[in-house]
Amino acid sequence: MSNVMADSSAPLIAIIEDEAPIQKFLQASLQVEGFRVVPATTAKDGVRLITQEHPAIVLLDLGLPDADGISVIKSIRGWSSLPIIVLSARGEEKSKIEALDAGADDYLTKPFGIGELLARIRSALRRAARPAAEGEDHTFRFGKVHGDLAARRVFVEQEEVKLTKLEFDLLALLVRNRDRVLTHQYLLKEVWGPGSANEPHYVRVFMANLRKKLEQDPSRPLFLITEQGIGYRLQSQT
Amino acid sequence: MNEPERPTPEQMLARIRSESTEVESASSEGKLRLFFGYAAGVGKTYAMLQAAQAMKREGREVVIGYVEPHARPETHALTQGLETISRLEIPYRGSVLQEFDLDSTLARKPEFVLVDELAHTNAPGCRHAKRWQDVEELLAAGINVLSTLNVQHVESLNDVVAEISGVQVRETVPDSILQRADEATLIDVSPDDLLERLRQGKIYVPTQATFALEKFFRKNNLVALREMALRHAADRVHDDVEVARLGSAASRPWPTNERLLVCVGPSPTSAKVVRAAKRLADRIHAPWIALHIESASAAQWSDADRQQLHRNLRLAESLGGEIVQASGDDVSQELLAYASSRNVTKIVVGKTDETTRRWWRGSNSLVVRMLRNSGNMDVVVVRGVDEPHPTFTSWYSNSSKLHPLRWLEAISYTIAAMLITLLMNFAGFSEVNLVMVYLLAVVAIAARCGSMPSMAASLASVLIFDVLYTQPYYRITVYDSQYLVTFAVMLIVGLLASTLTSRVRYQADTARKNERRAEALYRLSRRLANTAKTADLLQETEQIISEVFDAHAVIYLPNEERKVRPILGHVASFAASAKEFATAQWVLDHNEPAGAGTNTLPSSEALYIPLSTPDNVAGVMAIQPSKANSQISIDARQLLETYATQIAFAIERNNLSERSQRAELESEAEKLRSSLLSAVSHDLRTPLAAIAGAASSLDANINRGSIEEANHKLLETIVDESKRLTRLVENLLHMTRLSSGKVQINRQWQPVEEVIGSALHRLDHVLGGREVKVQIEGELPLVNGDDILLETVLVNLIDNALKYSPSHTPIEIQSQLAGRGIAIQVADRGCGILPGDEEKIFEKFNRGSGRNTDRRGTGLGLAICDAIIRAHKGTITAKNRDGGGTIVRFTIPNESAPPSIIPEIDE
Repeated sequence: MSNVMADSSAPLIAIIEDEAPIQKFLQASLQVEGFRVVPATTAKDGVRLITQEHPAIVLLDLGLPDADGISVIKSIRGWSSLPIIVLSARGEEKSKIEALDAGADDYLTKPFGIGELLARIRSALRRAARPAAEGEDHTFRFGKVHGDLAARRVFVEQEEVKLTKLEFDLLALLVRNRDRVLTHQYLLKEVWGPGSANEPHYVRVFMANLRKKLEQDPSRPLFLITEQGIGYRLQSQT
Repeated sequence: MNEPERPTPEQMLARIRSESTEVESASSEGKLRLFFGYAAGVGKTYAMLQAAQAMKREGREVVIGYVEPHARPETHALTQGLETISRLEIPYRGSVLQEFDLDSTLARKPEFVLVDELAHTNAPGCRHAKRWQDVEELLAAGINVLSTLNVQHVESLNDVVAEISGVQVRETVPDSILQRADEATLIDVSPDDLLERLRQGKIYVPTQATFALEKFFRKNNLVALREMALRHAADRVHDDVEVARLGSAASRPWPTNERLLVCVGPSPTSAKVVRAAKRLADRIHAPWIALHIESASAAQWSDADRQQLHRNLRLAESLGGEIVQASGDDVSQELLAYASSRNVTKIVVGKTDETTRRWWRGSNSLVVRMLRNSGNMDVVVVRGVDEPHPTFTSWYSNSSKLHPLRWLEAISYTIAAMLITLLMNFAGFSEVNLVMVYLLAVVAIAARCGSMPSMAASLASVLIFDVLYTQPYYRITVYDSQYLVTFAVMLIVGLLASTLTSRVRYQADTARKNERRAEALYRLSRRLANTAKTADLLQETEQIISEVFDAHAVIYLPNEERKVRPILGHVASFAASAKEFATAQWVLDHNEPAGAGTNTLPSSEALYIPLSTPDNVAGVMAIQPSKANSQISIDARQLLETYATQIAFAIERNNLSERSQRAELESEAEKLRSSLLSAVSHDLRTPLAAIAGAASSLDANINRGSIEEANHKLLETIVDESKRLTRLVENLLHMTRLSSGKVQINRQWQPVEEVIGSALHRLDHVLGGREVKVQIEGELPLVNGDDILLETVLVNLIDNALKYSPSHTPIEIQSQLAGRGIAIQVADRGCGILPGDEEKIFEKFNRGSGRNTDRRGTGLGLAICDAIIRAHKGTITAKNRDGGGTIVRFTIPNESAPPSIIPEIDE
């Protein structure tokens, strides 16, 4: 592209997507936003690109012509923890869960607006930059809710909210992974332990309780978002 | 220690069974209450109506199905206040007969129905020949019946009554229906009172029966009938006591391991023997078999004999006996062999049965031989009484009438023998040789023409020999007494030869007949095995049946709704008639034969036999004899039933293989369709995603000033519309998957709030600032549904509400408990639905005529909701809202209780 103006310090984004129109729109939009991009249209090319160019983040389409997107995630996770955002269509919840379980950081359902994409890219980049600092900051804030993970205290505005142990554990897990989708099975295993796989309704019931205690309108939550068919996400910015 | 006797396990089991069948019949079948009397006028109808009035006062639903319309005023008064089902009027020979209307009653389905005169014979044109059959159908439909019956109408008592009163009662009721009566009330008055009532004209007497009734209402008659009625009622009580006693472990054992066998022949007296056997069997609680042995003598039977045999066997069948037919030369030997093979303990034979027919056997009659060889079996000998029997022509029997040509042939043989002997006489042959020639002729005639011509020929030969060759010539008188020996020997040899040869002929005939049947059955089964297509199979079968039985055969098959399909343009003309068609349907529904020759719908032209396999009725076979006015004999019917089973299994097998082929084809087509669809939808979604993304990207530039404000709206439109198109593609995809039934419902227990919340979240950008009220009533249980599909339903409903209502009105979502599950409703203040469209709007591609047609939408949304809710076994309905607007409400039932949540112990 002749009109690319991104400087060489801008983050590099690898786009692994076989559909030319999407590829074109992603490249154009991201470059306008100041990112550098490298495209690939096959899984094989994609993996090679990542090893050679060391991108800061990967956008990965699940339906590639030569290989399953899941296998790409697995092969990347073999040696790198760079953020991967999966692009997929509605009705493919099963493969989304598989992708997340295989180590993808996030997913976006097509069609998506550029605003949504940028928000996900930025939060993924933020998370990637953070790991070293994670132990230091115990405090969190979203909307009117704030609290301290170490002190196990949560407030809505000035009023302290009493959470049960499991409710707090669930919230803490979401806070630590804010803006990321956590699958039902992951939440179950982390909060209730490995023996609880057959009781997914626990997560749903406890999420409902958390919403009642923390959200202003529990039937239209702003932060504790349901990713239907997949899991939950704590959306820290609205 | 005198422990009270305990019932054996078998007895307990029998009791449990009888109790459990009672429970079953109590739950599904109606109860029969009988008012039982010994003559007309004892007050049965009156008592029945009184009982009905009492039940009505208790608040039960009692309806009069049929009560004799010419009742006395007191009786008539009791019908007041009871609902009466109008009678069926049937025109018959210039007058109109009034009959009980079975179909109206079945449709009305009252709790109790009164049907007077159980023994009544229905007018031709009614479904059943007898009223008790109507009652059986009512009971089967779960309707309780109250009815009346006189003792002389009980089938097994019929001939005893006839003997006592001298009046032969034609209208009889099988004992089986009496036995299934749950309650029988004996209505009794003294004969003197009854006669007094008759004198006062209080007893309804149909005018045509006055004579018979005069004969009937004699005091000694009435006394005897009363005794019978009382005894019958006492027997019933005894039975009830017996069952109860076994339950309480009393001392006497359950009566018998007895089995009774009765011989049935073609004699009219056999009917009496059969009835006697039935009574005896009842008394000793034994099952019984009616056995007919076809011996060589059957060759001499007339058509009337065969018909009588048929009637006797049918009688035994209707009285609850098992029908067995066997063949053999020696009746007594066959009979005893069969009896011992079935562990029979008592044999019932008629006294006049065989003896009158076989005078030459003298003391060696059947009875005597039976007595001699019966071993440890009891032989009960019953005196037979002749009964008049109507005659009708037989069908499918080897006609024993001789063709006139046979007689001609016999005469020509005799003449030939005469001519040859004349020649031989001229040539000087001795008389002994001449005798030989005559004997040869007699044997030849016996072999060729049957026994009657040969007997005649042997007599003729004796006469001719006497006249031509013994002195005095040309006279019948004989001088030399030695010739008498010659004559006697000639005659005896002739008679013996004719008996023997005719027996051989008969056996050959029987063998040929059996062979023909076996061959036909073999042919049928081979063709059934080789025919893959059901249509061909039916055609083949109809053809074979037509050939073997000399009849028109039609096979009806049911469609998916278990309705028989009419067959048009069939060679058998009756197949297209609506009436015949109705009979076929009845047979299919009830899995019992009906039509001509049976007691159900006997006015049909054809006999209808169900083609039943153990768990299904595969179809109905109709048979109509080619010859008009002929009937189907019992052995033909048995053979037909054998065929029916074979055909039924063949049809069933073909159905299965056709079904599996269809399933295979369907799954192929389904695979193709879904791969095509996912390809198409992928191809549609990709450009749409690119358009939406690109437009949003351009729109984002507005902040940098690189795009004009005016274009912002245009870009927004592009984004919104491409998202809408994407939803449409998704809906299409959903619809095709759902309608092909390939969507697996992934049920998860979840809170209702979450489903509503996630649907609203997904519609955030469409909702804008639109007011949405969510109301959840009380603590709702978790709901067991597919999270993604339920979200799709709500997204569609909310989207519709948005589309079809003004933007300043709120959208209201409510959820409450509905049975074990929950109900959710989405209400708007829009334009509503046109009355009558409430169900149509859930059909595919229907947008509701009441709605503005310029609004966008494909009419798929609600169809998808409907399909999803159905897949969850819930319901979805739409209605207009008070004050304007639409309410769509759906339910999701929970088939089991929601899982529990173990509460946390709070530290």
